Amino acid sequence: MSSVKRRPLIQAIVCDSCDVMLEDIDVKPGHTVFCPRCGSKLYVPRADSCNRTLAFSITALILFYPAMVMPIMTLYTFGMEQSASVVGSIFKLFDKGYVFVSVIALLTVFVFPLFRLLLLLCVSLGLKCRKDFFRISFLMRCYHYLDEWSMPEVYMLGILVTIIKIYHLAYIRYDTGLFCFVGLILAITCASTTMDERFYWNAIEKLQMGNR
Amino acid sequence: MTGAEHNSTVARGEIDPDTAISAGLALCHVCKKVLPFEEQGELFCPRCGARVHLRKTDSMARTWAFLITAAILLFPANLLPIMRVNHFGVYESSTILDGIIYFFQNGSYGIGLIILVASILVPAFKIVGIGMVLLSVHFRWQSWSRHKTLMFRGIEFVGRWSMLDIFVVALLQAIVDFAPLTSVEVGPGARYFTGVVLFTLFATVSFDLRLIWDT
Repeated sequence: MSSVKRRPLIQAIVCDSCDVMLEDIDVKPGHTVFCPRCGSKLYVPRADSCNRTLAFSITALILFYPAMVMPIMTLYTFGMEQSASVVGSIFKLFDKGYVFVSVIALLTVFVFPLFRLLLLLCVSLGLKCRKDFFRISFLMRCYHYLDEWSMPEVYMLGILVTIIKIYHLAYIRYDTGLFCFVGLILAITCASTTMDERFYWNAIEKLQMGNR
Repeated sequence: MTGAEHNSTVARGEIDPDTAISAGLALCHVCKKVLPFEEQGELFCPRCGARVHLRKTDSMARTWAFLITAAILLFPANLLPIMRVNHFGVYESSTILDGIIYFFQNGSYGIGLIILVASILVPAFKIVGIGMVLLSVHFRWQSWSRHKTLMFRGIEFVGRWSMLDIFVVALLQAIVDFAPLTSVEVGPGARYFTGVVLFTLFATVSFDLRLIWDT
């Protein structure tokens, strides 16, 4: 470390993986900024971020209820039938005494994704109307913390593996829930990829400056 | 692809580049705002309200603790049955490995490979990988920093997919429920496996990548 305190760059950005200071450059959507020192992805600008995120998060919220609560498939065997939904399967796990597993599954598949979508909706709405009516800096912070812990797309792969495990054992009817769930995963993925975190934070900062 | 242009006076990969810490700056972890930092007192980010640290608190100790917990849990997770299949009153227990062998014997190599990667290779790779990074920080090995950073980024990305097996079992036990003829029950291994995934995720969250680069 140098003993001389260097003058910080006026518009410096700092890599969160290796702490190197870099000049802030204007990047057009479609490009990705990588850190020259450690190779981590620094920033991916998105076009029309606010509108698209708003649209996709509303789509995802509409699909959320049917995807989680309606049966995803029905199994027919021995003249009996049995169907399961995403939330129903987790509750059944809870009833069998697997409290820890079911609570983690419920949080990561249902609660956190729902919160993330609601937070995205509120933040995007707030930025769109240029009003800080939801305390969006706090909401945006919550969104950042939940990022790592919401994994409905893993459940999607889980459904596929389950189908492959049982399709030769019995007749499967695919129900509304499955199609809604696929749509939900697509909408969630689109919403979180069109969300430009840096743009959002800068917009929030501008909003805070305006209010002061 | 455009790389962010680095200050041209410092060559790429040198030991003493322009780090924020040497300039008295700290990065807000949540909103990535660059703030002047003094040693005394607490600093809260004016933009997002999160507490700002130069480095994550007790990063090494916490990551070691989570990692060792995950490594211990890995044994019961793989040795105990994760699933029990009841077929006309006859119970057959199967561990994660049994499930993979079942797929390979039936010729479903693709799906067998997915579960092998998600359930066995990813947790093992995560624990070994994070362990290597921690050891290198502990003994101040300076080489391969770029590779270590990228490997850690990779570990962060794949970590969540280990939950796959838990979700498969959760769905199977709900839908294959034709007791007493045939049913699928969860085995005690599922608890430990969830623990492994949870603690490896905690370990990646608590580790501060910049420690690799600090001399």
